[in-house]
Amino acid sequence: MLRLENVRKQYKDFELDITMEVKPGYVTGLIGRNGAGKTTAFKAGLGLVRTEGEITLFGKPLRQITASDREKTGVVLSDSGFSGYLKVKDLVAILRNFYHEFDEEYFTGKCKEFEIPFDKQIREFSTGMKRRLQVVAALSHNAKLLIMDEPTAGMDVIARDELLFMLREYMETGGRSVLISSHISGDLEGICDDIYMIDNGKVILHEETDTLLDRYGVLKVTKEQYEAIDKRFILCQSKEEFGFCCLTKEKQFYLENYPDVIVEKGSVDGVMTMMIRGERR
Amino acid sequence: MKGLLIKDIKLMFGQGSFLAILPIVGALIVVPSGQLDVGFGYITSVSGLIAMTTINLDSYDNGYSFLFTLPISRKGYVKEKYLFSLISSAVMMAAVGTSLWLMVAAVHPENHDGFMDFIMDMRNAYLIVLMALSFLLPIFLEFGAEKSRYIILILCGIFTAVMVGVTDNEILGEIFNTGVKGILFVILNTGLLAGSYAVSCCIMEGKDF
Repeated sequence: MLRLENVRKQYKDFELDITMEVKPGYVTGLIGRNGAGKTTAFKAGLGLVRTEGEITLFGKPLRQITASDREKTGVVLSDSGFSGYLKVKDLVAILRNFYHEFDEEYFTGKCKEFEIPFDKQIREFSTGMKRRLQVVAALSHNAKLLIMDEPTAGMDVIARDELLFMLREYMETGGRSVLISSHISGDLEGICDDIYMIDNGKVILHEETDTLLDRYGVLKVTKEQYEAIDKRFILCQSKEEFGFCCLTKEKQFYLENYPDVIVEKGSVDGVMTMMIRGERR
Repeated sequence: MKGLLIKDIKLMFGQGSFLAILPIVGALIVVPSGQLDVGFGYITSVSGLIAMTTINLDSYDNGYSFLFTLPISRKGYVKEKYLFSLISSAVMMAAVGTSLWLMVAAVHPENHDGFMDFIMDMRNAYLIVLMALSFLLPIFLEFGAEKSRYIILILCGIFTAVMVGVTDNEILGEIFNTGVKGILFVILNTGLLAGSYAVSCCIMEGKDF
């Protein structure tokens, strides 16, 4: 669906250098700290910034993408949206003329369901309401690929749940994909098939979510235990007051062979913290 | 293209109070003196700026990033801006100009130009607007509204002065009102617009959002 190969973007004090792929039928998550390069990666994939390297969307180089190819993408950006001077009732007419497959009934129905006002300028909406509107618009024209940068930002728990439900519903139709970022790791753990972790503009980990949750773990060991354990499967470690925290991809190995060692189950947050703060081996 | 045009029309009508105030300010300028010439300078300036307002609203709050994820190309966006500018300025000039002409006719019948003179003046004013747009559009697309305002103020002053000169029918007016020179001016304008469009396309193609 979307592939970024050796894509580089140089800013004054930041460089993005990334290779990643959103496969057909996959929900791919992109996580990282603030300023890690997530938004730049999204913008690169959408052709909003000029980059070096190869970007392909629906199997075509990005520069050959036409307006009708763009109709097959639905986008939510963290720092941009519909003009704040438009109203939702204006958007209906606009979207109808932008997208051949715009489902007006779905769009207006979802707006009513989310209590999004039709006759108020968008700039007067809360952050959460603006996000909901963008998500509904992105889902309303039978897109094959959703690209969503922080779609749950500013949403309360209920609205986040509703959004994730809508995404699961969207994925029920075959041949669709989603690229999503969120600073709430629980959102991604529940919905993503694979996850890319980026830091300082580079991919530091790419893993299937199930693998990450089932096989990864964080060992909490004293200095003595640290000296004694087999370190072949330790990916990175950080020094703590009690000794060391060690990230492993072979949690089961340590559970079976070192019953005295505390092994915490892998989580997106835990793995990300260790990958960023820890010292790699 | 159609979606963008609808968006711009909605944005323009979203500025209802601003649009409503245009003929009022025009009346305040023209009616006391009865000099429609001064009003033409005003109409020319504001008609050109209407289209610029939509560029300003598009770029407001980082709006271009999202806009260019919609099914439009950057070249298509520029094309629509030129088309919308030409149409909206013509409509605006016709609406505000006719209102002012009628007001002068009612209040100062002694100064009142005939309808054909008025149409000729409107045509001349529109050619000046097109010339102004040729400069304004690339400037706005490159620098945005904030940085462009000083350049715009200077241009407005120049074009208002030119309009007064043209409608006085003495020096510049001759250029428009003699057949061959008038045609040359139309050709010059068309060339300017085409060049301006090419420059604007390059500006937008080279931008990061």
